[in-house]
Amino acid sequence: MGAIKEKTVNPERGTGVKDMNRRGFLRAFLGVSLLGAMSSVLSAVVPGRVRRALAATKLQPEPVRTGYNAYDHYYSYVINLHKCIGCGSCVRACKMENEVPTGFYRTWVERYQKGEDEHARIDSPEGGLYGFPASTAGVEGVSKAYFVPKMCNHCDETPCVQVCPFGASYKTPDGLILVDGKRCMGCSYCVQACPYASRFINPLTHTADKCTWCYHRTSRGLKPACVQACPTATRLFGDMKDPYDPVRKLIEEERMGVLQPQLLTKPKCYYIGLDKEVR
Amino acid sequence: MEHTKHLWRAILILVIVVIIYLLGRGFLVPESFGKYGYYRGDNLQEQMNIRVPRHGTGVASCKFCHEDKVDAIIVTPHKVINCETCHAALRIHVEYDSIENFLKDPYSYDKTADMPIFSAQELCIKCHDYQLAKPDDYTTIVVREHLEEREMELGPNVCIACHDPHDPEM
Repeated sequence: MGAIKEKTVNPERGTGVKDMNRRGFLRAFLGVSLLGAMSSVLSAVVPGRVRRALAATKLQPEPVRTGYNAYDHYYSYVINLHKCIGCGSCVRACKMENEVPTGFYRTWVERYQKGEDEHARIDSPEGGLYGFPASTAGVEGVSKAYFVPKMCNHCDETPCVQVCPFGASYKTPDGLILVDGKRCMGCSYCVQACPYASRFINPLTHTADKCTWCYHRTSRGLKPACVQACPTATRLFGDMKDPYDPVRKLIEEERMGVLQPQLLTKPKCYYIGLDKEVR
Repeated sequence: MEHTKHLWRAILILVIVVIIYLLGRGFLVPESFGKYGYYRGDNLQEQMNIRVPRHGTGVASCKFCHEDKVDAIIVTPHKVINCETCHAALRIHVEYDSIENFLKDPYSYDKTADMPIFSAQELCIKCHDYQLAKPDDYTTIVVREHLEEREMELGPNVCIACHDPHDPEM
């Protein structure tokens, strides 16, 4: 056994907790708190200054839309299934208005044909873009048939906003669910999460895309393109915060159904005449 | 506790990592994040301006220049159809820089292209061909029977041979 090495304790700075003296403690304490204060000040101040310096070099200002306060509105959508004729005008108008890529649909129309089978036969040829052919072969004894237009329901308690890891999907103050194209990474978690299959990954931008209730139109007091295109007043768009809105009156007075109510997503697309067969 | 010098080094490294994280976060998280909620607040304005609306405001937009056509169709069953549904979006015909400017002063904008006119029979058949799924109170015809009764063949532009889209009832 060799000699135990003697540790010389410097009376000025005590190292180690056991033999720390008051001076050593104060030095350590002040050192750490100074470091903490510096780091918080730095992280608060420096990025802002750098950002402002960079912004001053930008050539174009961000476009600002004045005169519209998103908190003054809260939109809802009504679809009257007693009236839909399956013409597909809405699908065509949406494609034209929003440059939706071929093969993808922000809104689409489904046809349900209930025959003798347990479940209805559902078809949606190209989303109803060119209307529907006269009938699908093989459906025996059709007793009831109808069209169901669908799109993003802009739910109040969305699964899609909840699962977005990047804060790209969000709910606006006026009730719409939108996707921030710059923050979206295209992970498609939201595409999986949506129970209404209304989202898709845009093949051109590689970000999540979906019906936006034509926010660039509704924020200017216009109606979405699909609502305007519909020839039979199947699709209606209203502002729940506007006391004179006829669609708001309709929602408050008529009986409405929603798609997949058991999921408790609180959709804002209300259906009149919804059948139990509709999935 | 003896021999704690190594602990101070570890704590120092941890503190440096935390500082780097805070600085990085300060730079990387956009400024408007959290303004209205857990998202980048600037995107709200961006989405409002994402594109110029291609469709107008319906019949009212077309009435500025085409009052005769609108007056003709407004007393027919086709009054419920928006002009753009059968023709094309307004912006193809009149290229405005913003829809607000167009609505304020539509006459300051000139026609930039002819409005497409689709006279093919598919356009009529899409809506008016009989299907069980269509509502009962909507006018439909079984196209084959309709043409057979009149001894006509299903071919291009067969509907407009007899029907004027702006005054469809015979």
